[in-house]
Amino acid sequence: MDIDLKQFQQAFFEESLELLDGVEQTLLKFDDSSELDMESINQLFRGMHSIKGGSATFGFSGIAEFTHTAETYLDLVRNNERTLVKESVNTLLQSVDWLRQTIATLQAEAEPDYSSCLPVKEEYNVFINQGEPKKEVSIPLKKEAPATQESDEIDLDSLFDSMVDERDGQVNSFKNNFDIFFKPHQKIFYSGNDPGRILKELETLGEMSIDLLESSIPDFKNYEIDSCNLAWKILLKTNFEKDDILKKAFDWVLDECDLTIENISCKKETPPPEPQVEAKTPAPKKSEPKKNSPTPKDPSAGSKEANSIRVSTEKLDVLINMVGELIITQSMLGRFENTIDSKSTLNLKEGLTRLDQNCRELQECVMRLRMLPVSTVFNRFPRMIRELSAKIDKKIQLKIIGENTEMDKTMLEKLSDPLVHLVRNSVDHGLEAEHIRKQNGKNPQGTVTLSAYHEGGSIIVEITDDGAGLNKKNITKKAVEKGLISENEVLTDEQIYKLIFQPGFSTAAQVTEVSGRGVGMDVVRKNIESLNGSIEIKSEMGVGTTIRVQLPLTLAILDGQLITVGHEKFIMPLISLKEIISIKSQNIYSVTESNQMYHLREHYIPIIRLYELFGITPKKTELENSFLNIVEVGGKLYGLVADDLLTQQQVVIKSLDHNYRRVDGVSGATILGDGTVALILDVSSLVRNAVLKVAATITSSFH
Amino acid sequence: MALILAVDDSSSMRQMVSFTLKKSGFEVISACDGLEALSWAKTNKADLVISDVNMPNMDGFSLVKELRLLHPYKFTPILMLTTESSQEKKMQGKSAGATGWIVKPFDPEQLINTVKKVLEARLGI
Amino acid sequence: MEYEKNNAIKNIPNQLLTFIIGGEEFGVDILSVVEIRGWEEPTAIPASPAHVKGVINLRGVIIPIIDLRQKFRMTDFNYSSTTVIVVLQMATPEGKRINGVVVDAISDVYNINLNNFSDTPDMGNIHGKEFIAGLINFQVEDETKMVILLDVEQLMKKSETVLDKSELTPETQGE
Repeated sequence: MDIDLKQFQQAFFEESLELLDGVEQTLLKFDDSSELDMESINQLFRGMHSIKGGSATFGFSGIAEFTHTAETYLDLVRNNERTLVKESVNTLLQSVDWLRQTIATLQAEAEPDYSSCLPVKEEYNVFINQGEPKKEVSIPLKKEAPATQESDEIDLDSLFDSMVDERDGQVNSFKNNFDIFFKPHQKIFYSGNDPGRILKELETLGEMSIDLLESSIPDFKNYEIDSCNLAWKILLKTNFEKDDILKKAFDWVLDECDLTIENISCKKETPPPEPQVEAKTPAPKKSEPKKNSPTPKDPSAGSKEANSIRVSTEKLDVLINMVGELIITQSMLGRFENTIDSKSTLNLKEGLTRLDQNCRELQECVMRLRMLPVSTVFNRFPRMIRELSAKIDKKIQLKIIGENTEMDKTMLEKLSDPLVHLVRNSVDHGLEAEHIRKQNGKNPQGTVTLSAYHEGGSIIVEITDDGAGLNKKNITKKAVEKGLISENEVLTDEQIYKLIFQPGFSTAAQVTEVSGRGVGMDVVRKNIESLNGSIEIKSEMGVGTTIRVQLPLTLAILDGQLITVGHEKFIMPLISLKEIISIKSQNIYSVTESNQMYHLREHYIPIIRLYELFGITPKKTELENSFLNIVEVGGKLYGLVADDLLTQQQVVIKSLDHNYRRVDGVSGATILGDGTVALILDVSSLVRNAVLKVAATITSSFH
Repeated sequence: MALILAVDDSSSMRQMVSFTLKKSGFEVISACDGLEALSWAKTNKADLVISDVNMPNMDGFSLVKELRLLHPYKFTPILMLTTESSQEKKMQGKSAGATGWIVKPFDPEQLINTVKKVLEARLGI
Repeated sequence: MEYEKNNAIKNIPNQLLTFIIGGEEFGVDILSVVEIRGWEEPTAIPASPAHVKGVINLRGVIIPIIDLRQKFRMTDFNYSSTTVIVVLQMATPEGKRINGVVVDAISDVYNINLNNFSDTPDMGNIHGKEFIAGLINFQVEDETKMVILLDVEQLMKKSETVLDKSELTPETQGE
């Protein structure tokens, strides 16, 4: 039977990565003022031990060897023979990195460089070998006990002699001939061992003849049903050696039987019975921990697995798709509700209402399947801050709030990189150097706060620092330099802050290793917008900055306003829509023929005719009574013209990209109640295209 | 059909052991630590227990001790899965009441052969 | 632009589904056919090439509809009662890609094997050559049939969906 273990490899990789996350989290709790409790140390040990076991089983000896070294060190720590120090914690953290990297390489089916772990291994050896010499662990010795043959047994010698005679007459094709005396201790059954099994095993090793030594059986009165009172004499012809016999048949019971094995194949004379082989049970280890920590066990260290099951994301996506279909079908039925008019169909109406409710609930539940707590992403930050803090020599404290807030898995993954960038920015540019903070009477230790919470139908993620705040003057100066705004322009604070999202914008005087290249914020905003989210900045000089990212709960569902442009239907995402108004021609101002503005309260809003952008024949070109959908892009307001407004509804977002490609101005498609397809507008790209078009036709700046 | 209780905190290990044994016709139930295993064992009877040593919540040795206190498990074969071939660990297992051990890494063949030998003698399979 | 295409067809299918486009018989490997649907008006996509009519809903998945008659610059086509959409699929590294092609009518299913396969003659210079994998001649009863084999992979290539400047004024293009 050839069982292929490869199918379990992926599970092993995932499991190991999870264990490494747990190990890292625990290690980060260690700092100069607080040591780790025994349970945490055990968790570290078990993590390395588990990875060692699995990697050995699946044939990754490079990993097995490395984790063995880590485990050896951790074993000493958990036995109080070594203490964790900052340096060894760093070594352990580096080990986590190396293991993660190596596993990622293996997952990609490439060959890792196992030798790259040698420097770290060396560090372990230093920790292992230094300090007090290793305590003498009691190594069991094979004690040479005097031969003890039961004297009240049958005379073995005579029995033996007769067998020798028998033997002489046979053609002996086996190398060895063993005379085995086997008497299990009385309590042998209590360990679950079975002498019968052992005898059967012996039988497989060669040719065997066996005799039960009856004198060991007590009389009936004294008979205990669960005690073993039998002994056997076995003659075994075999090609195996004595050690093989011991290992194969008797390995598990050496400590609970009387056993002699004599090789009698040399017929010279009865060799003295071999000394009894007994394994010494070592003295029980002293294992009271130094500190008996009463702290409750870290729940993340426990087995989360007991209540969960791994499901592939493909399966989830199929399920979510099916639920989406269900909703569409249900809404199709719902459309007929109004055409039914009779008392007997009251039940039908009621049924449809209930169906609607059920569908929504089902949808919500299914959506939640894909939700993960943001802690999965937030958890990389303590480590990052620790390293940044060391690199740039600023004291930084990281606060995390709302780490259990849940977000769609894909969104979370896509949010990860932008978040890293934003935190890096806060640390690098937001927080001032220690001496400046002291000068200004601030706590020399800067604080960065990451928080996540639900608000309405969205998720809000905020990055706050108590640093220097954004310098409006510098930003406007830079923007003028780059030609983004004119010198005399008057902007609100928010508009000024939004300037930093322009490509290539960075007011950092120096480009540091950490940030400052100016490629970041633009990409961050793009990433957030690609998630149908928005990003805002609030800042106060000398006090600090807060960056607020708003994201929809899920990527799959959208609240939208159905609009018509000509004969085509489109969905305008509500999250982008600020207001819809019915157009009155007297409020239209024409700057040029193709460039019109709408006067609404104190704003002048550029009018964008969607039918022009899309090349659709509109129902009419006169704007009176058409609808202006007012949206905000890049801090400015724009109005998109639609012929008609239809319903507001929740739609399931379908990918256009998968079978076709990305279309400019369109973020996806959806299937309406009547089965037809409606395109979902990508407001920001639409506006940008329109702006470019107009900018190309006129020379003055447009805003 | 013989029922085997497999206990290991590593899910890839559990999967592998379960798969291997099921292929040989055994029924397998898995637990992720000693606590879960013990809880199941209190109301269910396995013909054989295979358990890892290092596990959270309740380690292998403690599990063996606890199992031996349960009447149906007094004589049940319990095998420890250990990565350590040290005599010390083996003896620790024995003194806790284990029947024997299987040293990791093992290949599936080894596992099946050992399990068969142990169960054969008892159930005549 | 000279478009060189290798004579040899890489994989000659075992079974062909053939259909009529502009009077010519075209075919695809039957394994790439998902289903055949009646014609339905697709939702137009802005700024798409003329041969991409739009998208439709195929049981919850949005797929583009390509009118090959337009791609092959055939004149005089319409949407009649026999006009159907052949839904094709293709495996890609990113997953299955599904497109629909508009055809005038479905023709037949043929088995191609060593017995009836003749050859793959050289194509002349035809429009839309890039969508054509080659020509197949094979025997059906006593006749030699010639079918134009579509290159499904090329059809579904993303670059084909981008507006080609030469398409802007189809009337002025000619061969």
